[in-house]
Amino acid sequence: MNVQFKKGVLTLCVLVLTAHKDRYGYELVNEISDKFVISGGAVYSLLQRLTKVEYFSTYIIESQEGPARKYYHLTDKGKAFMEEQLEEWKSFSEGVYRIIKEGLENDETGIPNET
Amino acid sequence: MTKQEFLTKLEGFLRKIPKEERYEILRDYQEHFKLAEVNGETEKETVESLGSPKAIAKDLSADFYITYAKENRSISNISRAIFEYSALGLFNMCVTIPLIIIPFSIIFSLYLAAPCLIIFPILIWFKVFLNAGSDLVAGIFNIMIPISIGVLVIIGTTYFARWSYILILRYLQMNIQIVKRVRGE
Repeated sequence: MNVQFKKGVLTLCVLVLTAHKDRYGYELVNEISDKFVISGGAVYSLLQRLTKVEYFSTYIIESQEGPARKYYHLTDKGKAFMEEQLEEWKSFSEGVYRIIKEGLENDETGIPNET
Repeated sequence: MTKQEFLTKLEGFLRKIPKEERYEILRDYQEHFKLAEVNGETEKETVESLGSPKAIAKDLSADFYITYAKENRSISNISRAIFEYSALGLFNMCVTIPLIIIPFSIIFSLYLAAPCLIIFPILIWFKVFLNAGSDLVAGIFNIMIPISIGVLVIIGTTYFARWSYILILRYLQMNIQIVKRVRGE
């Protein structure tokens, strides 16, 4: 898949995954790379960038079994950004879906594609 | 590459960004390694899944300097941002540097010219005053013209400088996106 395209989608994925539940980096990397191929570094760079613009606040929880974890909490500012991105994604993907559908339907009717 | 090699390399590539920020980034990766180990991943697998330290650092450095220059305006910050950004492509540097030098030289020469407009009329006025005291009042009105032009030039140049700064940063930011896209990063 195109890398730039994937990066844009990655932002949306990270925002949505943290919408209802604070998560830590390793969890987010696994959650996302289960679904599509992405480098873990890209996820961390994104988390660091979104934290810097205050879309995320972070806190560290020490754990008895295993290492300390840094949790990412989506702030109100981040939630507003997520809504914005979601709207954009919806209209974009609906558009693409319709184009695919129309394109393929025309092919099936047997009408020549001459221009 | 082992975990230690990965972290050392990343730290090396990030040496130019401030300490706290660098530690924070490295901390995140150390945490990742620890959690991956607990989950039974091998070091090699984890390193491979993270991507190359160089790519990570490049991505972070360019972004970092531009945000930093935005928050703390100064010539040295913007030149650092330009340098860091130019590292993204030599061709880009050939195009960008002249684009940036032009407004800088305009600003510089205006700042030089404006004080002359203010100081010289005063000197001339003094000379007239010393030679023939009678023209004194009329002289004041005459020198007011270049002095006010001088003051206006300074104010104008300050605005021009501020806007150039903002526009250059915007341009760099837009361009980074383009360079990244071309490279498919």
